[in-house]
Amino acid sequence: MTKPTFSLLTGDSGPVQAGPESGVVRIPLRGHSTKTIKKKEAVNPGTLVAGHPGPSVGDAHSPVRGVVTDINDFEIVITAGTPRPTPGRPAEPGAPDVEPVSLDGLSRDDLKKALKGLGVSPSAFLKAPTLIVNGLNPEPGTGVAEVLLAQCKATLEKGLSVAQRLVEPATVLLAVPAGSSATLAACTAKPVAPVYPNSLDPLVVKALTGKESMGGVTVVSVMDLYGLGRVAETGLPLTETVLTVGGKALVVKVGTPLADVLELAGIAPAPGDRVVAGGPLRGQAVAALDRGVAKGDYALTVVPEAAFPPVTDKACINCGECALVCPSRILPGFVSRFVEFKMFDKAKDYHIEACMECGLCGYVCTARRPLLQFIRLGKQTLELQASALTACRLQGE
Amino acid sequence: MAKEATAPTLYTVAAPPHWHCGRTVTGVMQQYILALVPAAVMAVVYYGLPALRVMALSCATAVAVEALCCRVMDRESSVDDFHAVLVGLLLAFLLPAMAPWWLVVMGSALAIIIGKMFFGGLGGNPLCPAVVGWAIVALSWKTQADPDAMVLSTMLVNPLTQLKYLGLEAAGQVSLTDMLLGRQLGGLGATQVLALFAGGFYLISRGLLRCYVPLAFLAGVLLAGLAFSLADPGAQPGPLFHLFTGSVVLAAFFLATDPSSSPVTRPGMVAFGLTAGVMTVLIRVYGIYPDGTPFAVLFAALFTPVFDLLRPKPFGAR
Ligand code: SF4
Ligand code: SF4
Repeated sequence: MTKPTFSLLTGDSGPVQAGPESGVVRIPLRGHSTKTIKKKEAVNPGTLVAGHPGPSVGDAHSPVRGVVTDINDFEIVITAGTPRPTPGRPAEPGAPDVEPVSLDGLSRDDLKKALKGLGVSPSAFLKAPTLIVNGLNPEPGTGVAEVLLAQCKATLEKGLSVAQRLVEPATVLLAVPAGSSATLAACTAKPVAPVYPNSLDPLVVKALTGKESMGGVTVVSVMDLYGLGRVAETGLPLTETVLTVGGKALVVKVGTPLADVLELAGIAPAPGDRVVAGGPLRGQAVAALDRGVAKGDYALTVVPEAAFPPVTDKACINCGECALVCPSRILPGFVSRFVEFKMFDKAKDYHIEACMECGLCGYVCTARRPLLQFIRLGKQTLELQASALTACRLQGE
Repeated sequence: MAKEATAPTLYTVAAPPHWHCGRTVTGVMQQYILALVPAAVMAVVYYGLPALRVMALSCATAVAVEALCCRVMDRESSVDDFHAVLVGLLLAFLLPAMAPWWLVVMGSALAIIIGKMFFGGLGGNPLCPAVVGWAIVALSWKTQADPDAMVLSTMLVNPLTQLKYLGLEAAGQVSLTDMLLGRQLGGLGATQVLALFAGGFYLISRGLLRCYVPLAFLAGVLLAGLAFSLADPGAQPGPLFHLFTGSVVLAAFFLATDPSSSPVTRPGMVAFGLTAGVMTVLIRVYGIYPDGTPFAVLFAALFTPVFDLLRPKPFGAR
């Protein structure tokens, strides 16, 4: 394998293609209710299968016609099959399976509610004076943003107009890779050097506003806008995501097993390889290929086992490479050692919370330590400690 | 297909990042050793087989002692990362070519035991192991560890001792070119100035060595040397004399840069290098040792925790 490149330009990914049609879809749940639907119930595209109790997380809907065959805490499994007439709705040829919802004319609060019901999480669109559309590809080798900006401009603009109603910004900026001529209506395009980690939200904000703070700024990705735009266009629930795999851009139904997506892309991972939902620096490696594509997945990456040295549990040799590369300007070597030896307070003194999880420290680590894993563990432990403390205080009152 | 049903394919699950730059401890150590080969060859050219004997003995002892330490400490052997070989080689570079075998064995063993394993191995050592080993034997057996006393059958002279005991004029008999080419008496590898420069720049060009410590070290030596020669041109040599003598170049590229005992931030590395460089000249001018370089490295390393405080504010901090 050649040395990885950190350029965020991927060149031509070709036209956006339709993803695979799967016999079984597995819709991942993230705290969604498992009581919305029962086993053996028939579903149509757009049928609500799992509501979310919180107001800020979008509900989950079936992307296919079929029957619910399994429900557990992590996923709802639907076996696709022949359409069944929906109770109370005589099957009219060509009629949509669910009633489209128009977003026009809704007040901000009603719009939020409607979007949640259509599977879009309104929490991504907080009110702020500045709205930044992050038009950079999220990670190296992940061309989805480039493709959407080039090919789905109308949908993005529709999404943007809805986003503006939620964010109510005074300024709307579009971060594009330097040299790109991509634009969106109502946005001022601003160039950003297309090199990872410049695509991370905090760094985009810094490049566009000069401030190292997300205060007063809402950043949305073009992938978010695309989802919003699809919902606005169709009035139907969001049940798809656009992702890049093997250099192609696919519109994939949520819940499609990764195995089917890889097959369509012509990639056959070998035992021991890493199959990553997401990009090579921030994505999540999966254990099994029957996991369903989640809403918001923007890439599927396969990393061959032999391509890189394996992770070790070796001690930090204090070479400092991680500190030199860290965009958050912390000392990942120090912080990871503090976490390793359970000195969480020290980790906090060394600003563990400033880490923006770019993954570069682990990329350069000479001792091949799982640095980001240590850092996430440290952050999580500190959060738990803080919330336990708050709970105690509340009890004391 | 039937096979799949019985044995599901296992994929590697690990935290991101899923890419790696490919630089590993073992790879880096091998490259460092490679970078020292030119100097080792030059040492054999000037001192013959005795130099080879010292280097081989030192490396072998270091590896054996580290293997033994790992055994005693009941942990997986770490000798396969080649760090012990590097420590052994660096120690040999500081010793005279005619050093007695027991001195070499002592130095190498102490470098590994006290310099490295005592603190838990590579990464834990607060000082450069090779320098620790050298310092102990050099202080304990002054004569046997002193190139001037041990290497008698040679035409080479040590410009530093000439300067110390006979004055600037005597030191002047070794030209800068001779010094660069290693035609000066000293540690068997430490004096191969040109070869060490070549090795150091090779590592920097391969991205295996950051230039901050070496360049700051050399700058510190040059600046301090310049200051003294301007203040007292009759008694003090020029800055290049300091740069090309003793173990300055070895220390700048290979001793002070020991990862574990040097700082990790850019400003820290620069301050560390400058301190060690300036200290080198101060010890030479005011100290009792003709060459103070290894001691200057130890001195600067003591302050590494302080230099590490020189770090930028984290992203978003006011
Ligand atoms: S992942 Fe590592 S390099 Fe990236 S911001 Fe966090 S600590 Fe720094
Ligand atoms: S890159 Fe790895 S070995 Fe080097 S200082 Fe950072 S954590 Fe330690």
